[in-house]
Amino acid sequence: MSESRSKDKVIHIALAGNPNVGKSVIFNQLTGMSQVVGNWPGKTVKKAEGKCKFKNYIFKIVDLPGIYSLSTYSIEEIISREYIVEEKPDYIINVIDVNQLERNLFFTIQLQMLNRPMILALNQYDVLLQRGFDIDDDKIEELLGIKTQKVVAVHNRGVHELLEKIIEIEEGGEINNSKPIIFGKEIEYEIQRLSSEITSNEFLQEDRYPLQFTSFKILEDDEHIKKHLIESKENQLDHFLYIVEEKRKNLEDFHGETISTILNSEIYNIANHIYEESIIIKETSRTFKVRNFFDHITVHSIFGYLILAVVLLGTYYLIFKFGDMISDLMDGLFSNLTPGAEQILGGEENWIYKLVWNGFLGGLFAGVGGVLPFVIPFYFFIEILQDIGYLPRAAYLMDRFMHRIGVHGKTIIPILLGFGCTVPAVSACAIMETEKQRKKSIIISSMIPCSAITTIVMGLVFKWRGPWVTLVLYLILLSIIIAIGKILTIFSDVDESELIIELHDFRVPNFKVILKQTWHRSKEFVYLALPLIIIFGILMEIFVEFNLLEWVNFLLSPVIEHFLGLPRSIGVFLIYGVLRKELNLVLLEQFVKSLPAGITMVEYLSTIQMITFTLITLLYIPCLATFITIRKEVGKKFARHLLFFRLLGATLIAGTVYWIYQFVSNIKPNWTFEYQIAITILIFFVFLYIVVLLFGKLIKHRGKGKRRRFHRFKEFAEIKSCDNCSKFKK
Amino acid sequence: MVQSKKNLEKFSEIPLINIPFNAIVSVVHIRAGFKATQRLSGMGITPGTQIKVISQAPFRGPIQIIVRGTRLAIGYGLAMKIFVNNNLH
Repeated sequence: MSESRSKDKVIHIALAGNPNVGKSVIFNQLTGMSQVVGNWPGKTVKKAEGKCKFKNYIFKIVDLPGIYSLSTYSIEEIISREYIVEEKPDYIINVIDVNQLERNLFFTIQLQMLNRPMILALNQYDVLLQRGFDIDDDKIEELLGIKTQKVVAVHNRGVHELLEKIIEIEEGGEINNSKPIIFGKEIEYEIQRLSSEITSNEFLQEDRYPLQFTSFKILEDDEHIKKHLIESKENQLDHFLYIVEEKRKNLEDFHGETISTILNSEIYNIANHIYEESIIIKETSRTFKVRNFFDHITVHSIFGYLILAVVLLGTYYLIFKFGDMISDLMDGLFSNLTPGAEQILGGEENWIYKLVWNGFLGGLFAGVGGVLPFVIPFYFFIEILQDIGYLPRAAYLMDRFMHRIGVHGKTIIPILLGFGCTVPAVSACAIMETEKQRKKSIIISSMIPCSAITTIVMGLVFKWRGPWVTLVLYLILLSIIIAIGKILTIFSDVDESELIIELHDFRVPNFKVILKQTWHRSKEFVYLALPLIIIFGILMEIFVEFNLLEWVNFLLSPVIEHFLGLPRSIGVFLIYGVLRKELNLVLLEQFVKSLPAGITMVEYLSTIQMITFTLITLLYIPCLATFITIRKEVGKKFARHLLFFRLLGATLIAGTVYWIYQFVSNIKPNWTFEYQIAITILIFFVFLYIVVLLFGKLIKHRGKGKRRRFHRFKEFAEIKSCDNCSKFKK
Repeated sequence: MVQSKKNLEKFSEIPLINIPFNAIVSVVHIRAGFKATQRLSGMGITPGTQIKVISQAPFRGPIQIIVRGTRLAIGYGLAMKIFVNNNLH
């Protein structure tokens, strides 16, 4: 075995391509179960690696993140290009969707500038035929000088032929016969000039990126490359950067556009040329027409929303049916096993019993029974919706409403998931393009009341105080979410929260891939969250054992008792709630039962206390599992800050409501309770509004909305006859 | 969707949001910030590109367009900053 292995040659391959071209399907078809999913070192972007043995070769495959361009707009883009130039994979398989040939070739051409041997996988060839087109792959090979292969990844057609092509090249000895990219006249001239400038100056040699790419990107004012140059050789650089600046200005003045537009349209020109040469028009088939109909109905102004509602409610219903079933089963199992455990571990009073059973296994069951049955199906459903291509449509439909709270349409996905469980919601935030947007949607979506919180609100407020108080609570929550969204908008660029999303055609889901992805996601969650939940459970038991809870209550009492006006013993329940939010309510109910007869929840907590308590529960800390997910997704520091601000914010907000109510009931004691509450809420809203406004004033407001936009349009319309429009650019 | 057609007629370049559905127009200028322009041009929206507007989500939602064979949704605010040639008159 070892002998044969030593003969096998290892070939490193990177899979690159646009999002949603079927890259991960190809990856899964090639690697099967032998894949490792982790993060890129130091980054929070997923990295999938796998191995595949094929004809005496071992292929080590890395699935690069799906991106549209090699600029520096998102972390994924930077990671991809750094990987290609630094790790130098032996081959790049560029997966492209032949149905969007032009846009995909745009990326291919950029990849080609990175100067690595490349194979083009023309994926979704079957759909192209259905649409009534065909592709001349020989023509593409001729124009780009790289080998191509028609692939239907979902049906595993042509996938292994990709590897065969690589072996062909490997054994044929021809390493790189791809043609150099030649741009239009004046840009090619400038790039040539810059390239010779770089080669003639020893200190400018960028040893990582190929020459053409460096020149191109430095012309584009690429922050990353510029930073790298400046870092290494600071003082001699001024002259060079001056030349670059001058060339850039010349081009911008000549075309009247920003440099990135000029250069990108240059690449698109080449892509367009290849596209027109290679596509062949035939006749549209019937299956495609049916699919087309679905495509349009799901984004229809009326039916689109109806379908969205049906999809979501259906998903929730299925998940909760399933989750509750498993959850009940687990709880039943736990309580059935309890008597047996008592015997083995030595009864109720024994501390070992408490530690092992209540602490360790209690925590385990809380995780397995309370969280997993909801999290796993949720992951499963997101994967399906993502795979068939429904999610962008939801974003398109909801963008307007999301804009109101300062995030873009895509955030609707985590928010909707958040109503079920915050854990998948937080991981779904990975679909946002930039780090900033991602953090923003995590902040927003982790505030959405999840199913556990809904249980608390229903079991406490709705049950004891009726629908109106419940409504008031939700109104407060909604206003806080909007306020936070608005405050976050102040910090961010207006353009950045604008939606640009591809609505690709529906496609048949590949269940093998979906199941695999679900499995990977759930596995990560189990590894990370379960141990912590168990440790927390054990810690709580130790606390009880040594009677530390009284001390905790005592320590918390200044806040709980004096600032929030709640009974002192509630502090502990809030701590338990971190483990699993429902525990807030469960423990509170148990506690009230243990009180002297005649005292029910209504006597124990007045309405305003109930509102403050529930508000705290809604806002204070996302549960432990969520916290861990956030930590994993965007890093420790952010998670810690979020935790701190949530605690502070929850206390302040609940306190504010309580004190406004105290104030109102003191000056108008003869009003009915409903009036007092209504006035309290009104004052609270005004208060919140002022806070948001103050924030806006304190930090310079960048986008001033409609008026400014209109103004800009007018200004532009008057000036457009002017030849030199460059001064109107940012 | 078309707001006060009369006024728009005197401009030879108008924002993308004012284009009636299914009309094919070509991009003249993009007046967005650096990053947004970069993103738009990366997605294939560059001067001279043919754009077909398919539909718009209600309440000033994003517009759906076809660019270079790809269907894209673009936020209202951003579509406001893409100027196309005016063939309304």
